[in-house]
Amino acid sequence: MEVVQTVKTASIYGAFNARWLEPEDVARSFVPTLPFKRLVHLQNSLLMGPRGCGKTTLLKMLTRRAQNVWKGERLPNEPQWADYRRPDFEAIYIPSDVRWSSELESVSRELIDFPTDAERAQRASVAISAVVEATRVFHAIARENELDPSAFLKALITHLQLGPTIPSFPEIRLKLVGWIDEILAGLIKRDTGAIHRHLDRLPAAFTGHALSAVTKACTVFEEFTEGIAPGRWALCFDELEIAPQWLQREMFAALRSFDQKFLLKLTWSPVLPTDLTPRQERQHDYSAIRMWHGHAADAKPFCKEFTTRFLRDRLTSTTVAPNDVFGPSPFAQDDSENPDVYGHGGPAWRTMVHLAQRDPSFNQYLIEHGLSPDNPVAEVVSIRDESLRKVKPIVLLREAFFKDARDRVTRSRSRKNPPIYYGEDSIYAMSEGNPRLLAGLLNELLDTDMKPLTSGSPLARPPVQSRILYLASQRTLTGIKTYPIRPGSRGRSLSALVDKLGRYLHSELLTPEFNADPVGSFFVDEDVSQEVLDELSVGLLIGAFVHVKSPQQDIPTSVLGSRIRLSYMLAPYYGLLFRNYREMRLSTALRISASSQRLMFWREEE
Amino acid sequence: MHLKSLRESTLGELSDRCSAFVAACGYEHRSVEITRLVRGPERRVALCFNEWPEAIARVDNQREFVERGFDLEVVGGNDANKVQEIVSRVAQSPSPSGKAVAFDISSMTRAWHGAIVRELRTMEADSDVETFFAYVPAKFRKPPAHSSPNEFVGPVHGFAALSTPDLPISAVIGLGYERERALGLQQLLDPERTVLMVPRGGDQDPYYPQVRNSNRHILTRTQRDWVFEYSLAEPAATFATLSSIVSGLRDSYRVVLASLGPKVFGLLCFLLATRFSDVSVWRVSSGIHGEPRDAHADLDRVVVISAVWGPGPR
Repeated sequence: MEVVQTVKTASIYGAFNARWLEPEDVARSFVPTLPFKRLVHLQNSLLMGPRGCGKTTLLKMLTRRAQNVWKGERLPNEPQWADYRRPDFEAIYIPSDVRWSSELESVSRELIDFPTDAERAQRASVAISAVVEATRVFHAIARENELDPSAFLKALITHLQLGPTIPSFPEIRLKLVGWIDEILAGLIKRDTGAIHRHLDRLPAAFTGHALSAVTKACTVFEEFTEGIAPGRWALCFDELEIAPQWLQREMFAALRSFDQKFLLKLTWSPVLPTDLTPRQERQHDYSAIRMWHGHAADAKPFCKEFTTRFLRDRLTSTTVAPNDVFGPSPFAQDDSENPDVYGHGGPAWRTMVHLAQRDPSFNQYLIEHGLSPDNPVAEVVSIRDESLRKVKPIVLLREAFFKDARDRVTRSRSRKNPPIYYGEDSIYAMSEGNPRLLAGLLNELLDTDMKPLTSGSPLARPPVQSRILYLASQRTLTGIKTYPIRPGSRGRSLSALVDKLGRYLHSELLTPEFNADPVGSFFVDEDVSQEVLDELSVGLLIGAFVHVKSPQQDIPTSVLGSRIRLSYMLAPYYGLLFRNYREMRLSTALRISASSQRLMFWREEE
Repeated sequence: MHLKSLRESTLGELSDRCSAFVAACGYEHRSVEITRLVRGPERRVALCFNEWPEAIARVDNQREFVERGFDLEVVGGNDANKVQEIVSRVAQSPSPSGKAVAFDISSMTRAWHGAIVRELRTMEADSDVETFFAYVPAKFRKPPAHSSPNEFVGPVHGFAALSTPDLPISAVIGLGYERERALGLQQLLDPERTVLMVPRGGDQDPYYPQVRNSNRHILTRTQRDWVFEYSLAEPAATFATLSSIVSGLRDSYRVVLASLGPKVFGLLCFLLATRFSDVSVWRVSSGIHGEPRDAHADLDRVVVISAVWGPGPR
């Protein structure tokens, strides 16, 4: 056994994926957000966002088990969350993941000459999974109400046509799972006849509409548990974006028209599915809930709350604050009122003076804005905001990379990663408000040695933070590079696109002439090829790109016509800033980046 | 049939006991090396890759297979069904009682490995059947500077478990030396528990530092209790270790086995999955984007496995 660097144990706040947390633990670490307020409405919902943005957390928070902890443990101690309403329905969380989705897909490949049976086998798997989860909910309700479930169980066996089965919740589940095992046995043997016969023997509800079996089970529960059955059910299908297409189609159709007793809570990628594009329906039939943040500042309140809870849990302190551990980010722009930052001798003042001495174009910029390059002090807040605060991040970046270019002799590896990406706001921005990413970053940062440089400085040293964040950025790019490409596509189109845009944006910040208004985002225009549009869709799903804004209540109905930027996770790797800045037509950016090497390699040439 | 036992063996034993031998005819120089050392089996079949019919040593290899009395079968690198049909024919063709079937897996794809094991698993037999798997590693070459993209990442034909997603995933990944492929698989699967299997071929193994270096990110992010080194020269011991790990994980996880490294580890994954139908075996393939890359056999490190299959299910 080889010894490798120890990864310390994470708490429930450190879990990378809510899918693997019990609902009770999800509730213990939950930070309420506005999307959750919308999700509890008595309305069908489509939770939209990239992987890891917290969709599963919200679905699990709807469940009885999570709500019990929320009500019993959290609210008594945290009354500030009291205005977050409890769901007025009984939620059944129906899980999914990449493994299951790929395995369902593999059934189609195994039965390529029998597509109808392949789909029936998938339908049976989905229906069984949903009923299995429903039985867990029925069991919990019965237990909480001290109800003898025998009559209900017998009725369930009868009405779901389970055949001879002992009337207990575990036995029913085992029976159902046994049906999947029979399908699997046929698949392993490639015995299509046996699969066909088995599927024919299954009750029609299990190979029919995706919701038939589970809704039937709920109805039986209502009939046989009078007085304790909920008035409404919410069927919460996770990861619908990677489910078989027939399931997606049926769910979207059901969003528009299904038994009012059942609400659907579905998850989806950041672009509205084409099945739902008749836009006027959206308001009435379902609410599309956006789960991503176009601007870094939008995610900050959630990130701060999550990080505070995380730190207090992991560092077993009731008072520690994010700023104590990570310190401020040099890019933070909410410091205009602090005269120490921009005043004579302050950190921003020093950086600007230093850059002005070496970058004639910035020197000129200051003069043009009525500021002295030797002493760029603005007493008037509006001038400070407009001329100094706005450009501070660009100045910092130019200062860091300008050194790199000028000081060729002493250039070292660390210059590739200048220590400017650290501090509370940088961590928040990189996470994109995505709890899985944020928990991952915080875990890694806390796994390092906590030794402040001086008394009063952050516990996590800025250079160490910078190194960890750079590695995380690099790893994000690895994830993009290794994400399976679409069959038939030409090589690594997505990672090549990300790389092209990352370099383009970096060059925008380091143009020979200081530019206070660089390009930071892209408008996806009609001249962009279909191949690029397809790559953008994948990139949005896996979080390589983020929608900045788009028409129609900020829910994009297509990639075309939307405004996007690169994920801030990629900022340290490409040397970018946590700002959206102005937009540019994507087709133009791609054309320029293909033809102009001057901008691309300014750093090296300088 | 079900897998009864597995042990280490030799090419001599393979030559003495086998009546049928199946090899792969590809573009690697390695393709023919084991064949040159095997005597005896009267029934000989070479699975010739459909892809890259003229690359590197492919033409010479094919000529040599013909000279050595092999029947040629042209098969696509991902065509598991055809390989199953061929294995079924070869393994069930009349032969003197007690004779075994051998496979040189060195130049085969993982899809073919899966097809072979799947066919053996589903075959019906009245008595025990012995199979031999021979593998010769390639002599060390640095990995390509730019690895090809992943076109297919998913379960191998016949090794998708279909378990409902009510338990978290555990990924048991056999590391290879291509940069960060394992990290990519981990990010895609997003397992709660990752187990890494690191191949080690002795103190002088040039692959070992390369594997560690190419996977440094995933190695530093994985708890050291879940990083295991295994010896390529001891496949039976590796099989026992893998079996123990998977048995322990199955109660709490849905296990995915994936081999990105030496093919013999991939074979062990398939063999193990015949014992646990709830365990999936995944492969990562670059599809049409992979470029031919030669491999020369390191004949000092030939590995032979004997696997005995009993009639009926376990």
